[in-house]
Amino acid sequence: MTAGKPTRPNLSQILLGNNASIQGLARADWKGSVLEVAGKLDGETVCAVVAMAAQNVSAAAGQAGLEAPKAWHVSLNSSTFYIVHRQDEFLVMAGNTVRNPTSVLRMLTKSCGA
Amino acid sequence: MDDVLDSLSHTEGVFGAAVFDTHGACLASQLRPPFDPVLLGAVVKQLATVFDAFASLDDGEVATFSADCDEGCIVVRHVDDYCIVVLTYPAFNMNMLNVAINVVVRSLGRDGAPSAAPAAPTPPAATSSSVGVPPPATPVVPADAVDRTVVQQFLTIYTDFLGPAAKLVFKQELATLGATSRTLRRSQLSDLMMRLTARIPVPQRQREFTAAIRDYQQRAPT
Repeated sequence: MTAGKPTRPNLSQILLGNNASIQGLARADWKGSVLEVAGKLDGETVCAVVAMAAQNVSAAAGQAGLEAPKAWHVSLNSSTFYIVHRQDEFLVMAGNTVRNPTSVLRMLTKSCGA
Repeated sequence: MDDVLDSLSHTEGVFGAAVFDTHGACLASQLRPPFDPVLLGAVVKQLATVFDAFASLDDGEVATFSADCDEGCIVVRHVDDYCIVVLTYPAFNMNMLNVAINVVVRSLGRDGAPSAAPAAPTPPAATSSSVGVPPPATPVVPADAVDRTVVQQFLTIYTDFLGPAAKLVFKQELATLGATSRTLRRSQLSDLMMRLTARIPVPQRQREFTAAIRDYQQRAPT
């Protein structure tokens, strides 16, 4: 593989092959415009929320001196959202709550080639 | 209650931990310089906006959050009226961290809230206070310490090149050398400058920073 433009992740492969808890995923640009959706996910809404929240996550990471975020997760009562940053876009994956979302996040980050 | 964060802060890979209440007041903290409860409080406040946005997607509040960043990881867990925040280096054992956070959760459930007094977020004097850690003794200023006004001038110059993050980076690099703005030795100065220069992303700006420092040193030798 030549260096340069990062390869586009295969959403279906991530959905089917990586983690049973993942129900849907989407790819969007940093303005929140959805580029691709797979599985059960309200891509438009979720990507808009992520695009907005990503700025705060970046600001918080910068304030904490941790530099730029590569991936992050938010776990709510019945769902967990995993977000992986890529050069001009982000991937958001939604799934059930799990015992160790940070480990799942790291696994998904690897799967996405980030 | 003083040892509520002991096991967590001694977990491998962890360099800071704090407990906040729902109003953002720091109840307990064990943070290494340059981090302090005020700084971490600002981070928590910033993240609260993220949590509010995500809460609109699901019925209920955010339970956990983590962000993998270039220089480390921030992990947040909400339990009842507490918010536990942990800062880690990039490499850490997540399972160990989970166990340590669970210990804190159990301690909070058993003992209730730690006293807010030792780590109130506003007064500057409280920034280094930590539950379970005795307040640091006043640092002894070495005989060959660089004049503090000179160090402050370096920071001013550095801010011109790195922007608002300069102060934090400056503190981090001082801490790496085991020094503060008061205790930096003359022999550490070149090391500090090299480290600060390396944190400027653009090579051209690095050279300009080095030139600016040299220019200042010629005018006001340390």
